[in-house]
Amino acid sequence: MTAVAAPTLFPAVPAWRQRLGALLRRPAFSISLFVLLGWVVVAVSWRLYVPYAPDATNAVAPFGTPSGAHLLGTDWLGRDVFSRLLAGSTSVIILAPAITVVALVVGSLTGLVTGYYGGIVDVGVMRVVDAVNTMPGIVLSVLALTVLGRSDLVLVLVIAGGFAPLVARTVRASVLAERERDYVDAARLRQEKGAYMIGVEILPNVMPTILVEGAIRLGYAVFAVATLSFLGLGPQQPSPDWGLTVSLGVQYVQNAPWILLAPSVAIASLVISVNLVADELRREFLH
Amino acid sequence: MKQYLAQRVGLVPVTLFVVSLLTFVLAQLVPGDVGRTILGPYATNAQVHALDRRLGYDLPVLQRYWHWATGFVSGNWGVSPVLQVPIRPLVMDRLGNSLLLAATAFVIVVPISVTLGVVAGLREGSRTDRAISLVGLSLLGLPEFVGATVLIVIFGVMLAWFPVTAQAPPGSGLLTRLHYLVLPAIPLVFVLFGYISHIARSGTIETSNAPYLRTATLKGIPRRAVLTRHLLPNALLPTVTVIGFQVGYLIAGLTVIEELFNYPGLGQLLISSATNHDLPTLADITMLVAIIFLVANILADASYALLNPRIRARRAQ
Repeated sequence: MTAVAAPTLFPAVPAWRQRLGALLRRPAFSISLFVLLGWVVVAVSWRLYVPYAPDATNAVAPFGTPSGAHLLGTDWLGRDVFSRLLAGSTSVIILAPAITVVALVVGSLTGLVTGYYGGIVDVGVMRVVDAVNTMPGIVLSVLALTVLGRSDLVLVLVIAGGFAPLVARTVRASVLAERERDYVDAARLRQEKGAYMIGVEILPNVMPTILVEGAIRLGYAVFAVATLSFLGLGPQQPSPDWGLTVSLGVQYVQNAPWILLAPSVAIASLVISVNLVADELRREFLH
Repeated sequence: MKQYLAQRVGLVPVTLFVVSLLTFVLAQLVPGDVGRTILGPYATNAQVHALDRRLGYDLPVLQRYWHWATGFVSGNWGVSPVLQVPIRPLVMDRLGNSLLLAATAFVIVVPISVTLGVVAGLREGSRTDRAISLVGLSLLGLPEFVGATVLIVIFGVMLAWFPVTAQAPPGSGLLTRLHYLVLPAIPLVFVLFGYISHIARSGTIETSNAPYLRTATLKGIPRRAVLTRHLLPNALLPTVTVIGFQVGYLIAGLTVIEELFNYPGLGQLLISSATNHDLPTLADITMLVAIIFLVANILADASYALLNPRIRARRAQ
């Protein structure tokens, strides 16, 4: 941290491209990104090529073993597991980024303002942040979803509410470091206003921190959504949601393990690829 | 350090007060009538009013908070309106079961992840290191139920080495009980392995670069002695702390595992009291968990101070 970055005279686009190119040459990054983008494409386009309607039941063929007609078999209602696997990607692919965006916006604003102004605002807000962090997220989520009712909106707000303080703490630390730099003093001498200082001077410089934090939070968001829907606090039946399907499929594990294996492997592939992408981004942009 | 710890301990009542307010407000936000929420749509109005009165929901808000908070502190947690049993013995019993499961997980995970973390750190950048780090990072993000279902299918169903429920039949010996706990503990081990090995690795790397380690090596001390006497005690310090900080995570992990394996722990009680709208039980569990979490964090801090010779020396002066 002792080396002071040389002032950039030219726009940073070439540097960004270089870094992205370096990242893409790393197999852990490129494979993970491929898997991640693959699921995003599936989540928006599964309707075009799904072999069966995800909710179409077939009373004659429940617990069908994987076959040519049903690639991954059928579930307890004779629904096609493969079709439900594709359709089940939608909920988590929408909810997890939504949580991340809300947490990033709220957390970054809080971190920027408290870090820049310091003083009593800082102390007060950080106390609240500590208190929120004291409540393990799971307990807070269960309590809120029970009391406010189970809906996607509450789910997003509750998880984002738990994440925002963590984002705020990271961004604040980064702002505290930036605040000491010369360009901030220069802008202060020009008598720039607080909003300008935060938005135009400091924000672009803490942007890498915010983006990397966002990638890391996205991994936790997938984890949280999957976990809460597994606990029955997310999407409800007959949603093909992965976490929900696993929790319902557990009782058939002895006879039809493919029902819960398919969504389990899907969650694993998604969460691992998000985490590996985040880790590579962190190593590339923060060190 | 003493002062810092005193400050931390001093803040506990303040934090708990804020948490209790948060819990209370959330538990009060129930749309509609609390008695109705608990009893459901089929109860008569008279039953609902009676329950409201018994739980004190006809009192003014401040008085209600006072009643609940003082009751919690004095150990008088009341009776669950849904289960019709006293809340405190129930919660404590479940807590004991959860602790047993958590202890099993820790006994497995700590030696493995510390060893592999140190090995990775000693060979920073090597293939071994990359493999250990990649596995750790992958396991870290894997929701417990995902790891658990895969394990159940392989070891519970296909190989049938382990039972697929977590609770041994009543009256079985300690060994049988442990045998039932191994499979549920492993998904927790997966996630914890990611954290603990990562910290052990970075602690080792940081310490390897310290000047006193180079001095020790140059003095001609055998490598084994350098490792065990000079490197490990320092490298493992942050690891001890991070193990303490995993309690918050562990509560979420336990909840999922207990649900999946139908194990009567605190997490399962948390979910069942949520689905049954058992608000008094839910509020008490929340408070208990917050206390456990706070105490664990302070213990982690204190252990760091106690184990760190530099801080010990400063205190002795």
